[in-house]
Amino acid sequence: MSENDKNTEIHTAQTNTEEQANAPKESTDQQAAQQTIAEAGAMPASATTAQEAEAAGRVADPQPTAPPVSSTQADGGARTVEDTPRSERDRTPAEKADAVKVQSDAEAAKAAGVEMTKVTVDGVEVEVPKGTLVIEACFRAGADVPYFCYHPRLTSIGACRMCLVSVELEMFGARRESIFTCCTVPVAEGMAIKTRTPEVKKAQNGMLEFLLANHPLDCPICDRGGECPLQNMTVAYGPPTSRFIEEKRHFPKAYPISDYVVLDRERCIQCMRCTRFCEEISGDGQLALLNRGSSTEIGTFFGHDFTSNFSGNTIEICPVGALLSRTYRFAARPWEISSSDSICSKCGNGCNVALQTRLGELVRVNGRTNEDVNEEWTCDRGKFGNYYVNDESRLKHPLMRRADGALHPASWDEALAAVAERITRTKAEFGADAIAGIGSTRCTVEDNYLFGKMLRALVGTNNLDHRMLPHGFEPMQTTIAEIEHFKTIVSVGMKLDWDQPIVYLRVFKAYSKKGANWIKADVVDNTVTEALRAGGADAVLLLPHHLPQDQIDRAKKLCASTGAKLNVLLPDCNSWGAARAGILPDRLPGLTAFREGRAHLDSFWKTPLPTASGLDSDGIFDAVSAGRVQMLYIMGSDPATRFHDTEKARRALEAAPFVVVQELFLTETAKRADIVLPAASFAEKDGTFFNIEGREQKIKQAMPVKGDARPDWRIVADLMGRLGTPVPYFSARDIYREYNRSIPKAEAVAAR
Amino acid sequence: MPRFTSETKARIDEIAGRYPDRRSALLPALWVAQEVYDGWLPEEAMQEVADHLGMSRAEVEGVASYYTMYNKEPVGRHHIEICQNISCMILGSDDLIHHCEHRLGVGSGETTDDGMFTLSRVECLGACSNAPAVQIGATYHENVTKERLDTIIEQLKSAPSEVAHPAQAKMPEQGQF
Repeated sequence: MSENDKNTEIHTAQTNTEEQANAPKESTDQQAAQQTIAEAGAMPASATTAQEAEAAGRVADPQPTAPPVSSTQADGGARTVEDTPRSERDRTPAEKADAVKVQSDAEAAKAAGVEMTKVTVDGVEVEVPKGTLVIEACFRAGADVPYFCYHPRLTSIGACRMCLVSVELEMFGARRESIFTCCTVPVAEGMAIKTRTPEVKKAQNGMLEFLLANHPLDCPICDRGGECPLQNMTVAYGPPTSRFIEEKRHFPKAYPISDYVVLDRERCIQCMRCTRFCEEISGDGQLALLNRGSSTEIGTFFGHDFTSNFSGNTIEICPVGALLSRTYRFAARPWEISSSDSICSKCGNGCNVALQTRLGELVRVNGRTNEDVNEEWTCDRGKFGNYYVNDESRLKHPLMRRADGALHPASWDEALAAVAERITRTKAEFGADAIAGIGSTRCTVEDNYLFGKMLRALVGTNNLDHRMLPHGFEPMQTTIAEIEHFKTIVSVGMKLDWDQPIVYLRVFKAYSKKGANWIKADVVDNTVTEALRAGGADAVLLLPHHLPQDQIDRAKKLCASTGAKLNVLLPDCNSWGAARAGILPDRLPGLTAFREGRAHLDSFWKTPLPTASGLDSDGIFDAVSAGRVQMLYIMGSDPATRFHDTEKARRALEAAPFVVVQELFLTETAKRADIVLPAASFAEKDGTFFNIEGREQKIKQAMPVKGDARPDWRIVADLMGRLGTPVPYFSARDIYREYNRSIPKAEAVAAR
Repeated sequence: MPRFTSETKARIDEIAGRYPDRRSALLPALWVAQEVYDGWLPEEAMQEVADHLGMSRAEVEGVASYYTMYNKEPVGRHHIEICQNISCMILGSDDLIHHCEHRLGVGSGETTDDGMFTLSRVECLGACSNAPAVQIGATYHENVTKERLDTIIEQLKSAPSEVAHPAQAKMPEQGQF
């Protein structure tokens, strides 16, 4: 197409839309257009003003009466001002979450007695806490303001210039009105904010044209397409065409900046959300805006790897497709995804996540908002580490050790019959205590509860444990959210951002935003003692559960004497749940001691329970090697690699006459088993996890179970049926209800 | 190999002491680093500045890459910066630049093979009243002609290197060249 054709076409389009619809408003439109250009000119990234004008001049040429620059025609494809706000449906989940966050913050501030300011937004009067940003007042009034760089959890810097609204205010004795970026202006009493005037619409429209000047518009091949704020805003607020006909800037596409993240600088609109996240939230400062003007780009220091444990969050908050996940790249379109609210399985922090699947495969893990736990963030371990559920090497059929000594596929019927037969035979020959069970810190409460019930009520043994370390339990003395309020925070013996990522984010928040003193130590030594003494009751000590017991004891004594709070942080997604479900040799569900819980359980489970404490995991492995335990039933645990004394565990597994393992993978433990039963992963079942604080959180099935695998509770329930008890369980919910009722009343209340 | 000596660090600390926040000293600290690292800022220089000021190194690169007066490429012993802005341009800086390019055998932004000279076109040096202006190291030369530039270049061949530093910019003494 020749230059002339192009011009004519653009011109015709304008005549249709622009002149007819907007003719009477020409002068205001012109002002707004100039204002837009002035506004945008202040933005470092837009070097397009000259090109704009040039392009505009060319377009205007065919019409001799029109002034060369900045005429209505020169305004490209400014669309007719539509007075219909975007519907809820047109907003991305992230936008909705932002609005919810703003609302809840405002409510909280009001409840806390913060002074309120009255403003009107499009004629609607709203009350907002003093110091609120105008954009937040707009959200509170239900108005729709387009934005890219604003984020309720980040400092507002007005980088994208998109959220232009008209603000009218009594100032220096006169009522003045001007167009502002509303994410950088705090409210003042009596402000009249207008979000839908023709001037505002025109300004926003112009701004979007600038933002798109260098944007490649490769939406059809962009992962963000379909859930992209830029795409959405362009549909709602943008010009239908661009006057920018020059070559756009080019960078390598999909440039990997770490194992998880690819960067597409062509798509970047320099909103600086990612750099602010790295600076303010994760504190690693790995990303920065490099160079200047039209060469501005996002990058890491001299191209080094983006080695943050929180890099995945930058993908989620990127309002365009500039930062993308390497695991999700081209895996799905957002509209093909089904999303289930669940809990991350990678550590004990219990991040609320959305498991997103397509055709039964996990394609993406996104953070969900829970102000008490992860706010809205996730760590990379959670975001990129949960793909194991898709792994082809997952166990899909039961395996049995046959005459040739190797594991061979078997049917469920065959495998379960063999296990049931072996349990009955072992019990008859050697007594119930010749059977021992190892529960799991990664299975749900339901799985563990039923496992415990089977071994205690049906088999009749207390040889039951789930611990891989010979340690006791210390409930956390604060919640995760409370950590950010302490003035002194001492973390010992861990790389907090990798081991307890969400706790780390709270600690960093306290340290960077609230001026807390953060002391890191390798062991509980004099530095720790001094810091805690100085901190007094306003100090909190964070310890990993794997620290030697004498260190934990020392820390306990220390905290008791200084008044500091002690948080011993457990490692796994359901470490607390396994204990709570009673997978301990001397504790019943709800961590009830025998003497308090037995009477209740005897009648509730309708069978007398063994009276003496059983063996703990160390004791179990010793007893196996000594021949006292004849059968080992392991659910979702891998002592061959995770037990504190792996040699001992391996020896016991070799020595045991019969080992049953329920697992996802053929682990070192499963390799030594006689029967391996394939289990469903956390993404394939419903259930409950207790996080490190003991917070009860539900997981939900997100995808169909791989192969022939079954949820752990289902396997145990099937086995219970074969051992002679009818199975009344149809869902994890049934079991959870029973679990709650199995705890003596007082405990049940405390557990909630 | 880190090049910051305790003396360099003390200099940066002294500058940082003038501000309530250490990171405010970033720009002057980068000047110090540029001096220590032979007139330019390699990766190590930025790393050292970041470490010493306790900032993220990416932010240091972001700032250093924003400003053109921090050299991101190695420069020769003498960095000849010829102003190409309007006053100098009207008074013949284009000719000066071309003359210099021919004489040194390099294009603008390049360094001679012997590592003696780097030639750059720069924006306004703020010496419009005596245009055309040329900055070499920390020294300003005004009312420059081709002949004077030749003399200067000849003399520079035996002169010690000098790194530009805004706080130390100086005028040549009368009749120095």
